[in-house]
Amino acid sequence: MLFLAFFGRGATGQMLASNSPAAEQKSESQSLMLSTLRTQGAEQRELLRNVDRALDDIQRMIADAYFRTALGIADTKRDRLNELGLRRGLALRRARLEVLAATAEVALDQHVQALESMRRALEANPSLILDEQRTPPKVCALLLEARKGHMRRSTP
Amino acid sequence: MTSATLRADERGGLPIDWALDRDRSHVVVLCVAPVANSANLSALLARRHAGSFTVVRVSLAGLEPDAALARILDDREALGAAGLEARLRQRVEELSARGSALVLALPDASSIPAVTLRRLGGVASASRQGLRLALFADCTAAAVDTLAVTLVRDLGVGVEKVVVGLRTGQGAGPRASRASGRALEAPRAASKGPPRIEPEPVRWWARAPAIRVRSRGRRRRGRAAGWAGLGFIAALQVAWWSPPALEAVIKLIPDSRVADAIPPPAAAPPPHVSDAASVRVDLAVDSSRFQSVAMDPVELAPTRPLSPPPPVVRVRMIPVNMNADPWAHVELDGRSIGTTPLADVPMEPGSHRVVVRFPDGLVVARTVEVDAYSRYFRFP
Repeated sequence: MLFLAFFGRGATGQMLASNSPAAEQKSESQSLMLSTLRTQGAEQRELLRNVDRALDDIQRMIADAYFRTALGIADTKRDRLNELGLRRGLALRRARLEVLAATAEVALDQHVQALESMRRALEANPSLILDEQRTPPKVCALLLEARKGHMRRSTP
Repeated sequence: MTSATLRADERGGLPIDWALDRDRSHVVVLCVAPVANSANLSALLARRHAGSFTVVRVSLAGLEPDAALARILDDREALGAAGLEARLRQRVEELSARGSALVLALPDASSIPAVTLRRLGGVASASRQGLRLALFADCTAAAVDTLAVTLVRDLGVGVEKVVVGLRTGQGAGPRASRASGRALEAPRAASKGPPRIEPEPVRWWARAPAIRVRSRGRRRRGRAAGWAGLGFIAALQVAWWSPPALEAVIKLIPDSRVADAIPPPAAAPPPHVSDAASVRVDLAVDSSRFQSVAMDPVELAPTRPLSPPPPVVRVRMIPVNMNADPWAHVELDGRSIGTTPLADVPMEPGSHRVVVRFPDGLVVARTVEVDAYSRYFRFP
């Protein structure tokens, strides 16, 4: 009985709802919103995939010791990421990009630029941690230095 | 003036149509890979040195030697490896016979396989300046200027003999206007392909200073200035050497009082400024007794011999980049050079012993061959 009442009411309610024009409009807008969200989600996923691919390329170049080329691409991608603004999932990728740029700059002995890149990485991800086993000590020291500066700035 | 007909390639490159104008000289700069850098180089050459070079862009990224040679030659007859190389040599000789040259400009050759670069380098070294490889670390304006100046100077090609701006679009390249002799026609409309970068009409007197080729008159003026400078330096030397000069005058004209006033040569201290002053004072007393005598510079040599400058041995160092995953300490020829990542480590061309010590205790020793084509190393 309870079962019948539950499903019966649901079915009836749906039937009633579909009959009224206001309800039809509402359901249409809901489906439109859902499809928009779905599209946006797909776009977002595609975007993040592209960013990840570019970051992987930069990392590979740095591993192969093509520091200048990697830095040039990182600069381009940084501009692109800045154009995209604050989207979900981009902050961590921005931090990764800045760490890669800082690594290339450390290799090229551009300490000031490297520190600036690391500072940007900390802005994007304040809880940034590097794997000390794999990350060069020069880059880890740079992160420490940038973190000190970051904390000094953030403390009133 | 001169025209180079270029043919569009459906694969994206613009290989050279080797039917260049017979009675003119050319410098053809063939920019190979990667696309962004070669575009940058083309644009810079067109903007700053329009009218000096024919620039053709061909992508050789990732191509094996035979494929690269075929791409350069626009070869569709599927010649064998030896045939391709012989054909390229023949083409280069044809260009050389016409007083022209082909330059492969490689702005950051990282995307081109090392084996391809070696093969091209072999052809270049065998071609006796007919084919040149120009390598860039970065495709900056300064690097392009240097390339342009070097090419024009070393190849001995007068700017007025050489051809035409930049072709990046499809279709046959435009002919430079023969009426004006120095202006370039607007290119034919390009239906497809990347956006064109059109060179402006060339005015020789308004050329960028970096590429300005010195005329004979200028060369003469420069030489005259050099001689004047040398003369000035010689005059300074003579002025500085005045004490021994006066001493020699005294030796030549015997006079008892002066001879008494001057100590014997064995006891004389080495000449310097204070001695010169004292000698001058002595001579001022009886200056009327002295007459001017022409000095022989050979006499001055023993008093202060000039040591020849040490020979300068110039070895072209190659900046080498190294990296390791994970990071590592690097020793180069038994000397520690720091931890990775390392960039622009100056190394002489040739083989070097590199020992890489990883933090987990792993040690990798490797002998690396350093030359202009292989200067990026990754360990292990």
